[in-house]
Amino acid sequence: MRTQWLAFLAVLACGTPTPPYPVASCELTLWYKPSSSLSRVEAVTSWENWQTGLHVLDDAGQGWRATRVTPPTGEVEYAFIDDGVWLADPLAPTTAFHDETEVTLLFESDCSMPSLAVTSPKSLAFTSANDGAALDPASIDVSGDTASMVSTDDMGDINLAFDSLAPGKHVFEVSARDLRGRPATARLTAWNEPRAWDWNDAVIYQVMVDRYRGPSGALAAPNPISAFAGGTLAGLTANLDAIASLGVNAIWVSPLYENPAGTFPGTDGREYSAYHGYWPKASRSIDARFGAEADVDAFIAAAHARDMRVIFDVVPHHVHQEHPYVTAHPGSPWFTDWTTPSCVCGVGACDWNTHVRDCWFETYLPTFDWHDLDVADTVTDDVAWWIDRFDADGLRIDAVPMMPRAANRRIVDAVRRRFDHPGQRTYIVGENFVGPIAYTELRYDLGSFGLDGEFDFPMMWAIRYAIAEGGGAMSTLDLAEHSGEAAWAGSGAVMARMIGNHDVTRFSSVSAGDADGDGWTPAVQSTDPLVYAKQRMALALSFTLPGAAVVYYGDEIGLAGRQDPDSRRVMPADAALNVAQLATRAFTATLGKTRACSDALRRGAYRTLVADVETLAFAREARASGVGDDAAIVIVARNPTAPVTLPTQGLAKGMWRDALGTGLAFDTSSPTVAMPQQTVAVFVPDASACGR
Amino acid sequence: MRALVGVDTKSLTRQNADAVRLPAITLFTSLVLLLACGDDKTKPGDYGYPPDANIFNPGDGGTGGAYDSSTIGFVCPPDLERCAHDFTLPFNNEASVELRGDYGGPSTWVSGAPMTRQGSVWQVTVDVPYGKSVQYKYFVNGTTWTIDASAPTTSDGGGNTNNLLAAVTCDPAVCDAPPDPPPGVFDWRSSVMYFVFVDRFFNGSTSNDCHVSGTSKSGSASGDYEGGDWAGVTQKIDAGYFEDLGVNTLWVTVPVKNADADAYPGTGGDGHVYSAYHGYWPYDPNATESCFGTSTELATLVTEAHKHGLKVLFDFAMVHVTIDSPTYVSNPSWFWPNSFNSGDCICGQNCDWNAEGYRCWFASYLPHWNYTVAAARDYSVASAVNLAKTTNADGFRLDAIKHVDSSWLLELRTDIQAQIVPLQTPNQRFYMVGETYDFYDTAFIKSFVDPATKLDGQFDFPARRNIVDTMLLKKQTMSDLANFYASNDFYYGSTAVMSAFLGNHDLPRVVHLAQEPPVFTDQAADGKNLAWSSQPALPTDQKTFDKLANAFAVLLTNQGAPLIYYGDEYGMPGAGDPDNRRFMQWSGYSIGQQYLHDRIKTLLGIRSKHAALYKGIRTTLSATSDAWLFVQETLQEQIYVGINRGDSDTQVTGLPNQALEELVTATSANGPSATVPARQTRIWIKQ
Repeated sequence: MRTQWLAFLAVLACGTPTPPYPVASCELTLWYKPSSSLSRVEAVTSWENWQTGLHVLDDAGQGWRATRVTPPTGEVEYAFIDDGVWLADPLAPTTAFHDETEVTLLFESDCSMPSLAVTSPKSLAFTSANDGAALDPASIDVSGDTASMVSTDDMGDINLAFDSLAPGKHVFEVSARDLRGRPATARLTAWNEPRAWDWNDAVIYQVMVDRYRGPSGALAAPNPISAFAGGTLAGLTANLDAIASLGVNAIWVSPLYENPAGTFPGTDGREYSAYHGYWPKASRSIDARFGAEADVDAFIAAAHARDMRVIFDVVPHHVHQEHPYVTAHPGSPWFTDWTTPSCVCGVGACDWNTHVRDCWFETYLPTFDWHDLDVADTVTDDVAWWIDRFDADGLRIDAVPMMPRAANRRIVDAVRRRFDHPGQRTYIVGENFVGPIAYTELRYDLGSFGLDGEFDFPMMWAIRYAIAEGGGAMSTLDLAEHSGEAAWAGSGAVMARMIGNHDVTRFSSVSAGDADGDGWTPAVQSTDPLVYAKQRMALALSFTLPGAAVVYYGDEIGLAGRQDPDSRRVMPADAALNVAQLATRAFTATLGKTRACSDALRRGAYRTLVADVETLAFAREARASGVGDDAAIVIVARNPTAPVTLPTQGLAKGMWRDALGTGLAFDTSSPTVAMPQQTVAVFVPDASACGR
Repeated sequence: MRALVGVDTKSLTRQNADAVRLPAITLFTSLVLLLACGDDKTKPGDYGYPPDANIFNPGDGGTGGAYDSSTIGFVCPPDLERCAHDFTLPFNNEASVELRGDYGGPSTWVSGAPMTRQGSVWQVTVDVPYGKSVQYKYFVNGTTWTIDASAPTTSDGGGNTNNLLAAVTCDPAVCDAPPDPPPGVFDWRSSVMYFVFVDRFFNGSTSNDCHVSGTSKSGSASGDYEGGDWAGVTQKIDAGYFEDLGVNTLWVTVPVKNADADAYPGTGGDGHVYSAYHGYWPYDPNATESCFGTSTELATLVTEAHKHGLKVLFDFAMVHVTIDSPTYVSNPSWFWPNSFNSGDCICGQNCDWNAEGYRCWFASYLPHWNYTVAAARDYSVASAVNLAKTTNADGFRLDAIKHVDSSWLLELRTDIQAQIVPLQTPNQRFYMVGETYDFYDTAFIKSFVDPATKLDGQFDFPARRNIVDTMLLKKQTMSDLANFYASNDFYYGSTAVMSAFLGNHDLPRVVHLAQEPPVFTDQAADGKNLAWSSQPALPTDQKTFDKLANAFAVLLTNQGAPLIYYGDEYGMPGAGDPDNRRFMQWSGYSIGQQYLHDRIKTLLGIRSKHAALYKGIRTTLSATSDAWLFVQETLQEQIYVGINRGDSDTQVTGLPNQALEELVTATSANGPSATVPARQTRIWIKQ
């Protein structure tokens, strides 16, 4: 819905007594800046059958061209033609495909209807229909909340005042009518929590549901290793306090979609069950092996009551062959490559580079063809259903680079429009599995129309190389940080920092030199203190580098594992943990506590202090003052041959103490720290409460 | 309201929706009347203001970089990515053939690439834009245009047929320097600015001298007028002072009529009394300041500057006027009311510098313009345009731009483009550089930069912080500085021209940061504590001037139009405002001062001859704690720069393995290694 202030105000001010609401406009101004001032640019639209010659853009000054169009309500498309070349509007977020050409996709609301927009968790703005009909103040209704106070002003602003919201998340449906009785609604989300949330604050715990906890707690190892182990949502829910004690404030659960029964062969020829959840056979139902919808509701309620966000893992890339979509729409245009199902990613001539956008993971996992608008609409709605139905707080999108960028932009746009508003941001984090240094690949999916963040694989590889393998210089971590920040600068992204996940070998087994080898032959759980020392250094980096921290379940206890499926072994019972594992878990909890306390660790800027072969030292500095709790210093020392001397310029004068329990401290008058080998420390100013 | 496709929500919101959504109904009503029935211009072409094209560009995904220290943080803007492409034309007895086309922007239609004959064909390899088609033609024997009939052709839309090269891609792409402006158009990247603080520069005519009784004066600090004037600046122009130093652009303090009889206490209650000597207390935006001379003398300043090849930027202060200004007295509704939150809305007191920065008064006597009122905006913009028109100025320095509504800047750019730019043939770029006083927030600074609709550039406070923290205070290493520059290049867009500086009139004199120990340990300190008593003296040790000259070397060998604050070329001393505005020293320089001046002059001479220093693509060859070696490259040349901030000589490695010429000391050298003496910079070209 567009608002047309100028035209409306003119009517208002020069005589007609109409209330001063913004008014919906049925017109849309299209702007475009051609690379050449000589270009002939026109707009063509789906609602005019792509007829040319109707909308030649006018010169609007300073290199801009503009024209006005009047789109009908609904999903409509348009494109620019710049000297014969069709292109989508670079200023628009969503695209579709018209005859193989990417064009702009527009969701045009009905200008003859009023609308409500949430402007903050306690206010909304009313926009009247194009006839200017005013808001009926008596019509405002806030569902699910009887105690709220509603006030309106002459501007169409609606202010809500909630009486004592219970801690946690609250979602309201606000509705109103204009004086002609036409309705408008909006969804408003409000949290009652101690501190206004920023996704930079997140510590995300990644859980593979089947492998975490079952009805009677800890699980036995599955037999074979690729079978279901019996983990459930209820089991996870029962363990939330233990998870929260690590400082975790968000949970990413593996896909909950109904998956097929039985087993299917992997590319290695072995039989696998769908224990991991990445084989959807239905898009809007819960796999009974994990629980029922009520169990999801209970899980989310329990998480929200603990001020924990929940991130669903969604799979918009493919379905299992037993999915009804495959039955109803076999082959093209819904799915790619139906005629040659032998194009399995990475197998034979179906190489990853050429076929990344159309290959299938397995012969039984058809890949959606996002070029088809029905597919895009359907899959986007399916993804949105998970948020709508369960009040989820974030999405982890699987296999991002294997779909056109239009796919994740569609999903992002839909989530923003349906669920987000100022003060409420659904975190959409993408899995773009890349190797080291692939910063520009990650950049591709970020920005104002893109994802909120991505998993920082380049940093993960850098940490694994420098810490677990002890290779290269510690300064490469600093380089990775700077390179990433430079590549993503301006995108506003909150990147997710991790040391491992379900698709790579376990960090501790890399440290132990036991990660290579068949994933069906489990690695041994190490007792070498050095392995756990490295685990702590790496965990500390993921908690103290800018962005959201991600802990893959088990990494807090240095769980061993070779590649998939061993990297997804069951979470052991507490009683089965060795002393070093328990100490590592306690260390993780201290990290979580320190991070929760220190604004600098969550939101401060990264500044290199020392980056050399054996030592990385950096400061995290919040902008406000650079002193007190606005700063923290992280030192990760591998095998230093001499004490580390910090440059003290810019640091608060006086004592700094390690908050992680090493007992290390220094005074800025003598800023030298004798870091023991393979240690990490997080120094905060003496006066800071975060050190206690 | 959701984000609207194709509609600039930012400017729409700023211009209209937010303004009228302010809670005060009275304000709303008056504003509506102004908007609707007043003279509100929707322009140009009735489409309103264009959207912000500076959205994050996610790129094309690339193929990943490498752990390559030379490219940390550097991101080539997509519009600068190039691919090398071979052009060939069958030999047909031509004497010479030149490839011309739009492959390098408009200028390569005028001056192309000479082809060489390789047997039966003419051949040349040029960089063409990545992924974009190219139109080209051959210029034969220096007289005749021809096409290659065997290659694809297209019409240019103007009746000519050109050859057409379909879009070329490559991996990796080359990053080329942004194209040059068309012939005859000043390249602002080559600008070297000098900030002439008129009242404190040179007194050319005592007849216009002003004094305001009651103003404070103590030692070297003065709140009164000190006699400098436009005639004085003109005399120095005519005497060749600026050309001799090597600057080509003057930033001249605010020329409009100030409240020159008023004496007011300083902002923040500093206990001292000031006059309007600085020019930031506008009284009548449509008249000129009589304490500095006549309007004729002002125009003469520009005319003489142009004769001497100098561009002139006038400082324009549009945040406020003085409370006795007729503009305010006659039109109080054009200004934000002082009363707010049941008190006086003074910045930093009852109102916040940031949250209420758009409306708070800097002092109780400085009403803050409200440019959401169209009539106010039009009036102020018209006065700026009028100043440019009547003086023939080449640009503006825009004061405290974050404190004015964005609609003001958008309208100014629109009107300058419409009314000033067409006056010159060929059309020159009217350069507008803004001041957003922030040493850290590059994104915020960038938000005002867009040469098409907003600013051409801003003063690069983050660069100043990095140079000073590295070269003078040594808080960070040379490799940090290298990383900063890599991330800073093109951060503000490939067409922006930022201005890097070491000193300005709001900071204590930079020479005191070069001293050891520094007078101020924080490079952003305001130095007010020493402004009126215990004022710092001129340092006497050579090391201070070595260090300062070497900091200037960073500035003068890198991208960003450098700014020299008057007197800094002689290391003038001074604490915070107003001690940092002492009268210009015209004689009696110490050895250190003379060294500094001469070194800046030498470096500027090199910069003017070697354009790669300001428009090249920089690659770091090595960076350590104390030394940085980099090469600045254009298609025409490679300039190698080695900077050693350390207190002992150091060897840099990575130079070409051949005979070199060192330009600072005018000696010869041989690669691949060379010694850079302590606190020195060396610049090499291939012999």
